[in-house]
Amino acid sequence: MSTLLEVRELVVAYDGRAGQARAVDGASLDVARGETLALVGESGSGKTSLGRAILRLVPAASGRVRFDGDDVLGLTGDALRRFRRRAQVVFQDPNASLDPRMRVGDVIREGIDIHALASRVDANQRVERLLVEVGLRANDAERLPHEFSGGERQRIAIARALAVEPEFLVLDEAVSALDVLVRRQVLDLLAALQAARGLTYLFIAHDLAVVERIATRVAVMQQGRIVECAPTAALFAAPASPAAQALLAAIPRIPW
Amino acid sequence: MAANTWHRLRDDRGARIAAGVLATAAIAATFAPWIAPYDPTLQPDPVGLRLVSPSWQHPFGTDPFSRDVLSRILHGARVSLGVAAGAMLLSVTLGAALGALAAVVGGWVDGVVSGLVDVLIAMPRLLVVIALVATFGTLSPWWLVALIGGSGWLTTARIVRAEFRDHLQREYVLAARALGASRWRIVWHHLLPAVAPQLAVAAALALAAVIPLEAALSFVGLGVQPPLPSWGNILLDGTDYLTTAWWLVVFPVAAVSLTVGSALVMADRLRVAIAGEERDL
Amino acid sequence: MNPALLSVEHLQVDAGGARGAAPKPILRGVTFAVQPGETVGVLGASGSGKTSLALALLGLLPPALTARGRVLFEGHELLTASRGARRALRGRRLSIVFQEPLTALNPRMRVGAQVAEMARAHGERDARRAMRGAVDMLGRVGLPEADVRAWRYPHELSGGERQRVLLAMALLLDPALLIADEPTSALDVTVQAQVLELLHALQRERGMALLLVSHDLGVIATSCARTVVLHDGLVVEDVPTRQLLTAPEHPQAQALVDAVRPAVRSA
Repeated sequence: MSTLLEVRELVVAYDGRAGQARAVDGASLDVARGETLALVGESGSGKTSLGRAILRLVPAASGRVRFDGDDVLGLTGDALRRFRRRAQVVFQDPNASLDPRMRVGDVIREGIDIHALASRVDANQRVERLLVEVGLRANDAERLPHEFSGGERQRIAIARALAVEPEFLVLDEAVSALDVLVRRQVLDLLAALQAARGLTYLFIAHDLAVVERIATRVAVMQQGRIVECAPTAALFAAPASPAAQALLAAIPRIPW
Repeated sequence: MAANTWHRLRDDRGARIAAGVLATAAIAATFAPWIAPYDPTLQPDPVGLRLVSPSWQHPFGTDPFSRDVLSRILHGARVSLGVAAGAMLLSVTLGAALGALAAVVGGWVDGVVSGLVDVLIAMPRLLVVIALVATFGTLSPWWLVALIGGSGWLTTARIVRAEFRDHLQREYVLAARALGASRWRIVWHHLLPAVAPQLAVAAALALAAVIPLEAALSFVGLGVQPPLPSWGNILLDGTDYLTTAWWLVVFPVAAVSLTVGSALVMADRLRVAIAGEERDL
Repeated sequence: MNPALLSVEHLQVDAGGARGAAPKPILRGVTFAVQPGETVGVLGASGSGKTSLALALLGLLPPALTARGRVLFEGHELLTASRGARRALRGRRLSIVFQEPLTALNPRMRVGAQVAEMARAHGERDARRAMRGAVDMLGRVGLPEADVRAWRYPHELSGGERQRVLLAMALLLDPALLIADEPTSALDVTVQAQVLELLHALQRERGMALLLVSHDLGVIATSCARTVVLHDGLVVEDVPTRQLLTAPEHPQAQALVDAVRPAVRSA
């Protein structure tokens, strides 16, 4: 499997200035094409900042990010816009990540419009197909976000990300705010989409139990650094770092 | 969602009445040349028809120059409301543009705009406009629009800047950036629609502020110049006869009060309708 | 037979019919009981009515919602009780901890003072004694350096620390029953584990009854001997937790159990 994403010694400062407290303090990782790398850690470990810096949503102070061979941190203008098509994101909060004033169809179509991927008519058809693909109905395009439940809004957010046909998706705690049943459904959807579209995932989470179902490898983050990285089964069987051990110990011990 | 606000307003009795008054005033102003019974500048009989109290031939009476007051009020509406509407549109547009610029560009641009707002907002607007008019000499209504409008952008700029800065932090704006949206697209498609309700309220309040401002200027002789009628200078013409010819005072003052009051009621009902919409969202 | 500590009988909650719309049923006749010292979980997905249940028990439903039925707590009928009577019970005999500590705490008041306020609201006249009791309680819920943190404002504390403050407030007057409504959903998983353990320890130490409301069976299974499963406003199962884990009957219960089953990994 080839490496799609390569991160080396990435540093993200809290307010973008050098010499300030660091959210990410020299993190390195690789993501192979087609795999799901989980990035786990407590809140404050820097995992969200790392995900956002990779996507050029927050500035990186130093380090290197290579996506399919291209230097991501140095991209500008059209090249940056092309990168944004290939690497998309789904955020945690289904209430905050959709513009409450936009109809769902327009929300999903926005990426298509920005990158001029289809004519008006074709775009609307694509939106309807995407809605169905994520488990909603084609005529949901006319409705507003607040008419949907949290799980449904996350599906809309996933459809929005898929509209530009990315290869790589950062899932930033995308199921953490959901009810357990809904969480399971959305995880199943993500797995199905990955298989159908050949997607590569960076799955950010703070709960190892969630990660167990979907990840091929797990990278554990603590205080801005990656402290352990192992295949999922290996990590669960024998966690080496204290951070990983703490996260495993935190999973509720159900008396089956 | 704009649809819901519209429905709320439509069901709101206060809003309907206020809108009705403003619409009537606007129609009267637009069609004044056709509905006014007399030419507003015509002085048919400066001796015989001077200061006639309201009658069938002159429902609002005549002024010291035997001009029909009703016709002058109607034509005055054209000027007063025209200047007011123009000034309101200018101040709201200018305020929105500057507030948006300050919020989106930030840095020194924000520093300059915010600094200007903080300093200028302390100055009483009427005095500023009087000073400007006094400097530039007596002016055509277009200049009045420019001066009154140009002096009123401060509160709108503050509101728009604050709203934009709030929304810029929100996750859906981050999502738009992740999709590759340009700053302009974010402003136009996401931020302006978000701030549009507050702009409507600001517009209504601005209207309520500029109508009396123009009337006051014209009343002291610095605004609209005779023979062009405005509600303010109709009052001015009647100053020597305030105690004897009540119609010279009551009608212009009523015109101003009704329109300003309606604009304020509209602003308030808009705020309530918007709050209801926010709850739903 | 000993009378139950809390007895809920045919509790119905409706969302009022505003502007001619038909009233929407949220709870459609819920019946269950909690014995003194018992730990009971209320398990339900979002939309099952579980939060309305918790609010109804304490008389904290928003005005748009109406409750009918019987809720007996230590012999007092709660639904028809006067506001004064309910206020007297709340905090002293019956307490609640909510999901979102930041909104449950007054942002302008130091946390120690808020805990002390609990004592003073129920008759403690000596301000200093109230404060001392508050700091002591904060220590017992595991707030590190309680004597220092008591003087902080809510926003200066982490999510886990704030939840501990809420627990201190809820437990200060040694209630007989603590209702916890999704107490850990807003917390990081490691903090969640600590708070649940704390809850468990305090419950055991005081012989307090615990009613834990959650959508996550993982949370309930570690703390509750018995589980009531709520679905669409009705109780569909009311069994010992062990039994629910091994042999769930209702399909909704089955789904909730499956949701926390560890994944079977295919190599």
